[in-house]
Amino acid sequence: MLLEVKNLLVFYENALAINDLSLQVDKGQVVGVIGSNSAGKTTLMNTISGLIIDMKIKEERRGGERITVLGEIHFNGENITNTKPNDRVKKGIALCRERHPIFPESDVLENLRIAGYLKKRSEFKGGVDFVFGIFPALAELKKRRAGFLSGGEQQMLIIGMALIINPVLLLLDEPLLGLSPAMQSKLVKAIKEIQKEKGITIVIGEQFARPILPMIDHGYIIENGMLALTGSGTELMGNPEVRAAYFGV
Amino acid sequence: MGESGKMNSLPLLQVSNLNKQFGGVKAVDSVSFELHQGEIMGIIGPNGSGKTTLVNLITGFVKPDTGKVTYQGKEITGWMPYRVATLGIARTFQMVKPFYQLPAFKNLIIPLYSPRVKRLSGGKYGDRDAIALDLLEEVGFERDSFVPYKVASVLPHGYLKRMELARCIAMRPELMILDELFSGLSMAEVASMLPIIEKLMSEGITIIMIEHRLRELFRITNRVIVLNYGKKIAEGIPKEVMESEEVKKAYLGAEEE
Amino acid sequence: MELRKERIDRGIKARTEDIFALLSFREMIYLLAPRAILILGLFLLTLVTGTYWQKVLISTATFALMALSWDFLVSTGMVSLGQALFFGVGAYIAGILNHSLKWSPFLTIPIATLGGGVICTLILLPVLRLRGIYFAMVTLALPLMLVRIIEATKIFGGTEGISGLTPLPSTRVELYLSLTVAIVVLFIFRRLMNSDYGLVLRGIRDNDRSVMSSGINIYLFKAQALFIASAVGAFAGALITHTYMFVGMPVFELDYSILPIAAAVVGGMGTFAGSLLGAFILVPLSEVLRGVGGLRIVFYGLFLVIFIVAFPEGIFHYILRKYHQVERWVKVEK
Repeated sequence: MLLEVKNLLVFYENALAINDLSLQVDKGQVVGVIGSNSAGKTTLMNTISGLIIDMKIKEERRGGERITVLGEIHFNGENITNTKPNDRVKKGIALCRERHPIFPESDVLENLRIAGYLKKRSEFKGGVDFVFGIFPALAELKKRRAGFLSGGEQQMLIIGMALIINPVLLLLDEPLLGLSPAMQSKLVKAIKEIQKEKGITIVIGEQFARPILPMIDHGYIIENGMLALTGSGTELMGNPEVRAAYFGV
Repeated sequence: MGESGKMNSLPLLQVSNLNKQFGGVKAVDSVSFELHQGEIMGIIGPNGSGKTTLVNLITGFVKPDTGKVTYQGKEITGWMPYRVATLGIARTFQMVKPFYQLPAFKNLIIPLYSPRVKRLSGGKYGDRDAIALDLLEEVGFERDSFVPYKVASVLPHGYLKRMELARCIAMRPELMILDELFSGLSMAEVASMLPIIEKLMSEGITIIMIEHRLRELFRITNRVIVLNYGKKIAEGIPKEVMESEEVKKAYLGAEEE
Repeated sequence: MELRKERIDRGIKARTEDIFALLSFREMIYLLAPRAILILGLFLLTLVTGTYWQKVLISTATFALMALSWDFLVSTGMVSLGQALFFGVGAYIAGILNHSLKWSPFLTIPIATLGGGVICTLILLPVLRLRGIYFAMVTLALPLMLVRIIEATKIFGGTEGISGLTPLPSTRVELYLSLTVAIVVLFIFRRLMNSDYGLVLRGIRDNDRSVMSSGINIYLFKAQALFIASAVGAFAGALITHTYMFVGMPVFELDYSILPIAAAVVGGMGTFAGSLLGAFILVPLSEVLRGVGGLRIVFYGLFLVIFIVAFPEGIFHYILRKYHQVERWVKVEK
């Protein structure tokens, strides 16, 4: 078991965002976390990646809402619940949020270089080759300023930036949001390829199940911060309730 | 090509040969179309095809390199956005950025404070708070509940999108441009918003909708233009447009659903 | 059993928001008490202090006005690094009118206030259309430029300035005038910002594209806000001119730009009362530290850092939060 979330509770001031959630992810799997907008997917991703700790400190400093996190997160056998986000990245957890953190003034290659800043020259070259192999469209846009890329191209760049550091666990928060149907299927194929070629474990949070259910090994359906349903990709695809609630465009 | 049914009236909006280049990229490439009052038209196309740039060109947020935009016979190319809005064109923004620390109904105060609304209300503003609450009810906020009074930061995405639509309606526009209003909404939420848009249509408001949610879009519009790499590659009834080979390749990908 | 700290509203804010506050004695106390303490406290101060500290109080009120002016601009999205511009223009207008035309302070001060507002707004009008840091840069540069111009062309008294100006009837008058105006401006700004007009201004700060697309001419509103803020600053300058019976190049000094910002930030940006609070902390502190001699700047800087680290949101924000909310430990319920 690569990642284990145990009895997670997250409060935003007095509002419960995640309510006693537990899940497991095995190494090499592609796991889907499906839920509508305020179900808690993003909070879950932020907690696993450690971003919630940064948010907590920032809000405390500003006197804003107090964020309380209870429960445990285990990664590779280690309890990382209180590990800082940058240390988690060093352990191999990479988070891709909605088109963050693109540097709009730099071109695609420079963005990748920023992401791979701590890597050695040779490793970086290998990483870039891998990224351009998965996303050939990105290779043609090497010198284009990231701010001028379309939404789908930016999404590819973000995932590419995460891949440069050769992550062990890749967290994707709504990667298909706002993309055209053509772009969505391209991205889905690319994600499957990433899993196959490098054995990277991938967790995808999405609102619409249809594009991703066919390719996930295991899925969790989250509602109101709680686990509603779990099963393999095929099981969930066959479930009529799931189809009714989460099969959009 | 397009529908040219309303022969008896001049087009409400005329876009002629708009061109805009950013850096080395042609964002909008010789786009032209006409819209008559009361029509509802969809603009679709892959990401980066120039849809939002086109809206920015029409509403004044970006100045075109060449080309003209004419509204009600008046040329409005390059006008400042607030002048375009005062004329009667209102738009929503793809990235909704509400005023998070304000309650939902307070978010609507600013459009209600505009000179246009003052003029249309006969020279006085009226009770802005009450009007705001009415508008929220129109877009689906439950009237006798706390929801309109909740701070925007705690409202789920669906409500924020409704608020954005309400903000647009508050301007009492004649032309509404909705930029990806349905993005991020569940099927049920979109279904509940379609009647609201139909009601606006029945009031004679002309609407342009930029969308990726084709199934829902085609339920209410029967005219669509398709953009790709800044160029208009197709225009017409949804069924015909979707059959076109070029559209299929550019937008829909390998399989259709 | 797991515990977490919970923060709940005391309900004061909600109960006192409406007209119903008038019905309950307790709610009225909640509303009036802070304001009453402020006004009575200041009144008491004016009675017990000697001449020296009265002058310090006048200086404090002046800086409070400039901090209020800065806070107002920041609430609209304009960061001004040149409060000294408003201060200096007001000061010079009052000084010149008094010196050349022999007009009394009761005439020069109002004229300097309005005239200063008009002139500063006109000068900064071109910059309003630009986004980003240009406003801050231009406001920073203008006072420094004006100093050089006065020095070079020797106009308005040149490096020596204009002295021998008419003072106000007495120190007491100066004191009451400055404190009253500071309090009145505080209440006016708060009222304005809580109204729908203030909503538009704050909208311009948070999301000016959205405000523009709502049919509002943001440049017109920004110009109005600029006029109000610069008029307040000009008043402060005109008052000081007659208090010290002198106006010269020092009125454009960086001190007058930076201290108001420090006062507003330490006190709490956006609260206006915080600007007052900040000024009342920082200006007397500066006086007290005069005895320390050379290390004065070091101690002053140290105090500033301590305030910012302890109360990053601003002292008044902190007080407001504690006044309105209560924290306690609760059991975690799943």
